[in-house]
Amino acid sequence: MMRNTIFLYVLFISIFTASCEDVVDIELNYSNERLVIEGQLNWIKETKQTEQFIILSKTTPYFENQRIPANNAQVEIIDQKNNIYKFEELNETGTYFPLDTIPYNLGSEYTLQIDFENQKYRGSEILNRVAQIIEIKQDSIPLFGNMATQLEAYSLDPEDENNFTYFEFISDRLENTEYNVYRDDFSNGTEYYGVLLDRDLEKGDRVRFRQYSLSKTAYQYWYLLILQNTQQGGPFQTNPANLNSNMVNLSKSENNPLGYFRVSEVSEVFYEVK
Amino acid sequence: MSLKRLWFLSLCFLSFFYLSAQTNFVLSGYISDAETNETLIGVNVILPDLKLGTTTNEYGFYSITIPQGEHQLIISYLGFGSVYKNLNLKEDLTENIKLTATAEVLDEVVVNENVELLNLKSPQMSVNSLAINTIKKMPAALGEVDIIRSITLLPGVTNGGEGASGFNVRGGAADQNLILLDEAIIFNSSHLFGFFSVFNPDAIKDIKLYKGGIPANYGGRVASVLNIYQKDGNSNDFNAQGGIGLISSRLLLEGPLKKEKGSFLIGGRSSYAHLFLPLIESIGDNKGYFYDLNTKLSYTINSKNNIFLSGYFGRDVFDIEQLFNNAYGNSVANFRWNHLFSNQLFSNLSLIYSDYDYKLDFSFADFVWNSSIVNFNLKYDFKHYLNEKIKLEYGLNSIFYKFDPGLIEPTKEESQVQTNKLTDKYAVESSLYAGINYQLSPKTSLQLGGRLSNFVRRGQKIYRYANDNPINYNSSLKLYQSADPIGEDDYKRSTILKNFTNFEPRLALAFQKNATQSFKLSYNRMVQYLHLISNTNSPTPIDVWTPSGSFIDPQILDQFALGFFKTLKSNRYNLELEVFQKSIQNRLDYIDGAELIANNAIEQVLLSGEARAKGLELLIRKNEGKLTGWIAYTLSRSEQRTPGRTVNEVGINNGEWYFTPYDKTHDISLTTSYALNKKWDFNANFLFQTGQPITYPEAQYRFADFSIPNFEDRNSSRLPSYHRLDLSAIYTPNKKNKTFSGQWVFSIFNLYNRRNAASIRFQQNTETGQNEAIRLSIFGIIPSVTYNFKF
Repeated sequence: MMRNTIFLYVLFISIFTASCEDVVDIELNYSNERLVIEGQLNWIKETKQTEQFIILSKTTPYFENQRIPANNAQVEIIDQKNNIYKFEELNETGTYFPLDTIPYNLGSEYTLQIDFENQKYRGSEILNRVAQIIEIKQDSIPLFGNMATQLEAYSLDPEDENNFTYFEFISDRLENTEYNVYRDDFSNGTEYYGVLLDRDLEKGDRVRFRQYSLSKTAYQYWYLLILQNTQQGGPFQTNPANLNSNMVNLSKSENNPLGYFRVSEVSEVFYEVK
Repeated sequence: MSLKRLWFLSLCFLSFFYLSAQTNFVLSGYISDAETNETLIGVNVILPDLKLGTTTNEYGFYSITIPQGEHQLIISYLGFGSVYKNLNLKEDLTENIKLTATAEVLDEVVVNENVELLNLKSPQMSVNSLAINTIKKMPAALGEVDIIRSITLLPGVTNGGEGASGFNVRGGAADQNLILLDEAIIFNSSHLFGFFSVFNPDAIKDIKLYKGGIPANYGGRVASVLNIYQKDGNSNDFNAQGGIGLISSRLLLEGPLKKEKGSFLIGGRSSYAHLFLPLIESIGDNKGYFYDLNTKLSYTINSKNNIFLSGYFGRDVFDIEQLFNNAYGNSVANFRWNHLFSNQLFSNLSLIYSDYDYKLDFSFADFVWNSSIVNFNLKYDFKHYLNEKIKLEYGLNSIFYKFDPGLIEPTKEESQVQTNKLTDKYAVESSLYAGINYQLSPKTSLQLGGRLSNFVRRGQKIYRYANDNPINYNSSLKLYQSADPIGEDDYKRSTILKNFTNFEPRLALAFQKNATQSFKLSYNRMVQYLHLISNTNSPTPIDVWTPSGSFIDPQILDQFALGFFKTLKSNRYNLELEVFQKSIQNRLDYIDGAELIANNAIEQVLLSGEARAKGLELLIRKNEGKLTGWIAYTLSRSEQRTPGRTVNEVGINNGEWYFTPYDKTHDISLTTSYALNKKWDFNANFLFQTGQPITYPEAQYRFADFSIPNFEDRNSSRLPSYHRLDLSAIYTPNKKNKTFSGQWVFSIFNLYNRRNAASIRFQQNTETGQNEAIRLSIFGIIPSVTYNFKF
């Protein structure tokens, strides 16, 4: 018996010391610089407010973490009725805002058009409906020896359509914004929820819950975005895949842009942790 | 087609020999180990004056037709004392012979370990055998003897790195290996997500790996056949053996049911609970362990009939407090009946049940997911020893499969998950095969065979798509997207949804130039109807097998191999040099962002491509002396591509060829064993492999507060090279008494503590915000001790 214990001890020690992760230096190639588009048109159901902006930046070598703004671009959005909404850059930030608020029109198509360094970019999205967040449930569950707060944001899935959404959780207490992507394969027509599980949340913390509607293409983008940014590595890592933009370069198709132009209806709820 | 003509010609030969083989008699029998009565596989039966010989089959049976008169008979098998007999043949003769292990008869050090001697004459090439004693001596990670890891020391065999499950043969994927345990198909060969293989070494008699020139009696996978034979059990005496190691303990009991007639074997192995849990930085009430059980009953009814009943049951269990409970494993039950229709016609009938099932209980989300693959397999195989020049093998095989990709059920009333049944799939795979081994001349021999395989997908519920196309291509975004079904059809089980029939020719030719050299050539076509749906670098237990059908075609392999074989210094050394080239049609690939788990319409994310591999393998073996072992070198290239379905589509990776995750340009392995004296035995392994292909980021950009990597073309970089040195020393004290013997195995895995990268991932450091590359290396230097005993 004692021998077993010693053996186990040796085993644990060796696994601990021998099998961990470390940071290594790897030389990487750098590809051509490309334009990155982060476009958002959000209409918030509950408050009737809008968030409309386009952020333009450029790629950098992998280990140089920064956003290099793409300045002096011409940005406009064209709706289904051919109304054109021009955007203007805020100082030299690479962030562009519309001169007039773009009106809300469920089911219609919005086209983003960008002219930057003599190249034309274009992409379109359709505005889908989002189901409202109807309830927040709070629970406390054990997680690796500690108690964690679980918050679930419930919605009712509309039965007659294919729905794609993502949930977003923001709080000062959280280190990062948390996301959940959702498709209604397994709960078409029933209640579903986005879940936040965190050990740091405390009583009185304010959490903002949002649910964004997505198109099918946008769902594919956000699914991979969140999968690849939360994956923990290991031998069962999936093969990395690039996120496919819905924007294309009309002037030079081999130099397609990165990022995404998304239009969403948003359901927003604030919650105070009990 | 020339192959068809050859086939026809061989049939003509066959009838000719029927007429001319009259004045000869048949010598046949079983060869077994004198100590245990365990039948021995691959024993050489030689008649030197006639320059004839044969080997025993997987059930220890041999049969040879020779002229009447006086002949000398030699039975030789490495590790056993040879038996010499003088025969005066006047009629058919049955000679059941028992061999005694050399360790028991000789005082000096055992000079020849159970290394398979090179067979220059046989057309069979690209095959490696390993005796279990050789495997048990190799230094093993954490002292846990591992059959799958040991075969990666053979030329042409690698694996996806440490902690990766399965193995890769000649640039093939892990799901392309047919793993047979006593003829039953094993779907998952690893414990603990790939750290250890599921085979308890104490219960294993022999293993044989076919990498090419695969004979017609095997089919269903395109890369290799790994045949693992369980021991039958000792029918002379009761004995027990076992071991205590760092990871697991083993105990195996065997003994006679009826002396020399029947035997039983039961072996169990279990890891200690709470294993590996520090890895997931948890404390509390968590468990992780594996166990397996091997059983076998053998009974000799009379000289013509033997029956075997064998079973295997293995399981892995992970129980992480409040989060999930996970259990998976294989179960196999197998009944076999060996019957001699005559002393020239050996038959084996097998009835096999096998299943692999997987259960994942998410307690935090209140649902459970069960999936399984069940199969019933009927096999009837004949070995027909027609005369001294011709041996025929023929048979039939039918496998019924039920694939249950998953039942998702809520475990509590308030669970938000609805009961969801992923559609079960049914299929029947049948085949008929025949092969001939024909000695064309004293120098040339031919092995020619054909396998007719048929695969039928039975009725189920399937989706209907516009233009029968489950994947749409968005040409402006150059993006593949799942198509939405336009309807659903529910077919009765009796309906045939899809029917595939393929003819798989097999050909091998040997030309023996002289007593020490031969050249061999082989071609084989193989068809694989099952596909493991996985887009990770190595298979995981939750990967789902899916059958070919309306949207998925079977994989079809064509492989050519050419070899040169030489023995030196009367078999003290041998050398094997082979080159191979293979191509595979219909290799599946996945569209970007494919969701594979619990996907009921997997056709919406699959594209069909092709794969190819070529390589050179060199094996030099030293069979005798105090120092034995081998050095293996493989130079190879393995690639795949998935072009667009039409000229307008880009395909995957722009339709370009890319390296498969198991491409290893250089693979060198050195395996040595040094017998110092009767008490001490030293062993060393060295491995060097080119790092496996990996996709690195070539840029980053900011999006939604993430730093997003933008990746280069698929698999265009490499992990750092993999190499390590392992040592072991085996100490066998003098026997204290007649019955009990013990043995200590001391080993050091990865002696110079090389931090081999199992993977490298890229992430943004949450504290500094900087992007960084993170290496995962699993086994550093690991000393271990194992104690084995036998009584």
